Formats: sequence, structure tokens, C-alpha cells
Amino acid sequence: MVQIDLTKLTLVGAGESLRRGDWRATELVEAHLSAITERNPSLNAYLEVFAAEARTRAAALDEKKQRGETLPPLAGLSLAIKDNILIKGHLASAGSRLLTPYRAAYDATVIKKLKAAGAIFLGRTNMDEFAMGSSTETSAFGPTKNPHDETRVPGGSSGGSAAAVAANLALAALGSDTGGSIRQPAAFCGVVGLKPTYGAVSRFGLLALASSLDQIGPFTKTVADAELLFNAIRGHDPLDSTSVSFSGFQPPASSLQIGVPWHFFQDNLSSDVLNNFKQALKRLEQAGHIVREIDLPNIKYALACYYVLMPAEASANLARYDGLRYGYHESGQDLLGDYLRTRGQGFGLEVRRRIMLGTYVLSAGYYDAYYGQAKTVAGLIQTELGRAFADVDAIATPTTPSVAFKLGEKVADPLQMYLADIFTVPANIAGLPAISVPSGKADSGLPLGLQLLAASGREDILFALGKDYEHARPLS
Amino acid sequence: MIKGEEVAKLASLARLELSPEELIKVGHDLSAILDYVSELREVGNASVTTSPNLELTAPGNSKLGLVVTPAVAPPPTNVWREDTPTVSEATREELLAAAPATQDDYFKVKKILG
Repeated sequence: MVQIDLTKLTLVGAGESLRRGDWRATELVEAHLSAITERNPSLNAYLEVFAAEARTRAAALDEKKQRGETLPPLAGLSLAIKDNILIKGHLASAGSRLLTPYRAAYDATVIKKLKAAGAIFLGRTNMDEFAMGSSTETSAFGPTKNPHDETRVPGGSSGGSAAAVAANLALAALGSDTGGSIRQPAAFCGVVGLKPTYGAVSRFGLLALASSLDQIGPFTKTVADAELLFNAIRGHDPLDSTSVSFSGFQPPASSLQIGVPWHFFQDNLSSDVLNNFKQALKRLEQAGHIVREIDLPNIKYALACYYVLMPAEASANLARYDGLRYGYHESGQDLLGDYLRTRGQGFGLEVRRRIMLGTYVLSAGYYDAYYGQAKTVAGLIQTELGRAFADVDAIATPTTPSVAFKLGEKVADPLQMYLADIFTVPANIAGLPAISVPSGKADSGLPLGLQLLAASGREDILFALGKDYEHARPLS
Repeated sequence: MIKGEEVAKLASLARLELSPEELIKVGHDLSAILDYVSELREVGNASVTTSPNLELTAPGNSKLGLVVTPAVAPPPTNVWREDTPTVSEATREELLAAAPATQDDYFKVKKILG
């Protein structure tokens, strides 16, 4: 009998073969647990593996199948979950000492949905502390390594989830994206990453970074898998009043218009990244789509907007971490001392830096100049992108300005690190869906990604284009 | 751009302890970042349209006919719900168990007043 490596399956493939009875859920889980034991010590993608629970769930599903019962739609599909998504009873640390230890008292809505669908959680993955970072180097538990080159970062903040999928340590994973934290690591690790439309997926049970920008989304090996996982987690949730069920769109045409804002990047990208992007566009043209130049004059301000709005919201969202009701606690001389020491020791420097930045831009005397102005410019960018989508069906950019950088390369200069998000933040600012699809390798042999944005609620356009791109891609 | 005392004041406002070295480093970082984000001031007195601007358009190359597409985002609508209590998934015991100090059904903290 031919031995198939079950960790190389896709969600769609694994689902079909489990239903056919080619193998059991237990075998799928064991294959992943072995792979994790072998590779995780060097990659540090997983902070914790839920081996016992995964085995129990798999066994229960296998018994269900034995009895001839219908299996739920995602039965047995083995997923990795980012450490900032709550799974009741499990530790959740958001990559931080400040939530060590904290055991989730409830399930995030996405987790409830996935449990009901029969999915199996293999463990929780490493991330930049409180999702603040683009390299997974600010994690209190050490960085994750890029599976393609372990001297390099996997990207961030969802580096653990990206690395897990890239190294076949999970069939797929969930991450969160506030300024690119799904798409950028997806590009660096050579996997698919989707940031849904703001509101498409419930944020209930996601430890908040910036409430007007955060979204949970999938990391997968294929676009069809991203569509499957997105459909499983999407939908209005009464527990998240910003969530919306999008529907009622006409299916995408077979030939779509793709706008490219060349002015935004063509002069400041290395030639191999630019060529990779141009090749990716050629493949979309081969598939019958039309690539046109568009002008987005204010998009270059998106990063500055982001680094005002996100820290402002983070400073408010992280005020709850005071050590009085959960997590880490350090005692001071008085209550104020408790706060200062708990937060001072529990939060890493990047987190404290961003909280202080947020405090500054929200403070009296600076509020209008920074926060007020950033809100105005964000509105302009939203309008500008909205108008673009009256003209084109999708917008394409490279996902990142470069391949994965070396560990330690950008830690000393926060601003250099922030520039890694330059192409990803506009989608968060405007609340639009965006996907990164692996677009081959740079000269160095490291992965790159093609980013596509669509109008609000139009993940279907992203999936259609992504699949066309995958099918047009030459075999290599 | 941002002075030493301002950095210390920010840390105190945000209830964060920083070492003297950290205060200096963060002061430099914040100055550099604030410098960068100040480019937002270049964006003149632009007026932002938030009212819906519904246009009949044919999105892209759609051959499926005209579709009504908002050219700009529709105005936000408020989301209401009834103010009725429901049973939480987390029990009081579970929530209290996470705290460093409790007494009866209360979180115990150092003196707030006086």
C-alpha cells in the first residue's frame, strides 16, 4: 500500500478522502502530531499542542463515521489557531507575559462555529505580542522561524500560523489581521492568507488590538481552502455588533478589470520583487482578465494613518490589562504601583511603545492634529478606494516590499519594521477584503505574494481571481 | 521633538513602568514615528463625502448588466439590540478563579481611596 503523507493534503482534499473513508481522522491527526514533534522545536510555530484533545476529538469522529452517521462539514480537518483567539479552557497569551497564565473562560465565535463543524484544533500558534509586530519577534516566547529559511522571520504578527501551514504542521490555520498580520506572513511563508471585509467575521473572542481594523482570517495552502474556511467562520454574530452578513452580489464576470496603482510602488521596489509582480499580472491576463493602471493619490498616507489610529485604539483596548482580574500580577506599594509594575513587567517594549504613542495622539492638545487628522485622511482613503471599485473589480499590488528579512534585522528600528506593512494597511484602513496568493520565489529563492483587494463584501472576486492565478501558474 | 519629561508623563498616564534606558530609547523612537506620521498634515483641507453616492455602473467588465454600486461607502447605520440579560458561557466561579486575589464574590485590590 502506498504511503501518502497526510500532512501534504489540502482542506478540500482531506475532507473528501475522510468522507470516502480512505483514512481516518485519527490518522490525519497523528500524521500532524508527528510532524509537529519533529519540526516545531526548531520552528517554534506552536506555543502549545493540544495532542490529547485532538486525539479524543478525532477518535469520536471516527466512531461517528463507523456508526454510519453523517459527519459535520469540516470533520477531522486539523487546524492551528493563533494565540489571541479564545478556546474555552485553553491557555491564551496573545504572545505576552501579561496573560501568563490566562485560561479562556469562553469560546470565540469562530471557534464555536469550527467546533460545530467538526474541525480539530492541533494547538495555539506563536505571534507578536498582542499582535503588535511584523515579524513574530516581539513574542514573549521567542520568535518563530520561516520554514523556507530558518535564519529569517516568518512575518507577523501571525507568524506561527503562517509557518505552521507552510511547514505542513496543520492543514490550515486562523490568524488575525489589523495592518497586514495575515497577508504579510502568508507572503513571506509562501501560503494563502485572507483578510476578510471588516465585519465579515465576528471578533467576539479575539483579543482586541484595534477594534476598527481587526479581522480574523484563514491561512491555507490553496485559494479553494481559504474559501472553505472563510465560509465556515463568516457571518453576523449578535455578540459582535460590528459584524455583518454580506450577500446578494452578482457572481463575478469571467473577465475582470484589475487596477494597479503603479505610482505607489514602482520606484521603490527591488527589481526582482517588481518582476515577480509583473509576472503574476501576466498570468492573470493569460486567464482573460484585464490589467489597467489606476491612480490612488492618497494611498501613500495609509501607513501614517495606521500608525496613529492603531496605537490610539490599542492604548484603549490594552487598558484592561491591569493584573487585577486575570493574567500576570506584580505587586507595588499601592494600587498605582500594582498597575505600573504589572504592566511595566508584563508588557514588552514594543507594546509599551505603541500604548504610549496612542496615549500621545489622543491626549489634549494633540488630539486634533494627530488622531483627528488621521481619521480625516482615513476617510479620504476609504472614499478613494470606494470610487476605484466603481471602475475596476480588483486592485493588485505586491503584498510586501521584499522577501522575509533576517531575524534581528529590523528590531532596533521600529519605523523600518513598520514600513513592511506599507502595501497591506490600506485594506484595513478602508475595511476592504484582501488576499495574498503565493506568487513564486524571488531570486534568493524566498517566497513572495501577490495581493488583491476587492470592494466591501466581495471575497468572491478575490477567490475567483486567486483560483485563476493558481491554475495559470506554471508547475515548478 | 518629544522631550524627556513628556515621555515620562506619557508612561505614567498609560500606567506603564519603563527603566531609564527604556525611557530614552522610546523617546527617540516616538520622535521618529511622530515625525513620520506628521506627513498627514500635507493632506490639505480635503472634504470627505460620507453620504451615499449611488451610481448606476457596470462594475469592471461585467456582462451581466448594470448593477447599483455605491461609489463611496454608505453612511454607517446603528446596530440595536434589546437590553435583555442572557446567560454567560463563563460562570462567575470561572471568572473569579482567574484573579490573583478575591474575597467572597469580589476581586480584591489595594486601597483606591484615601
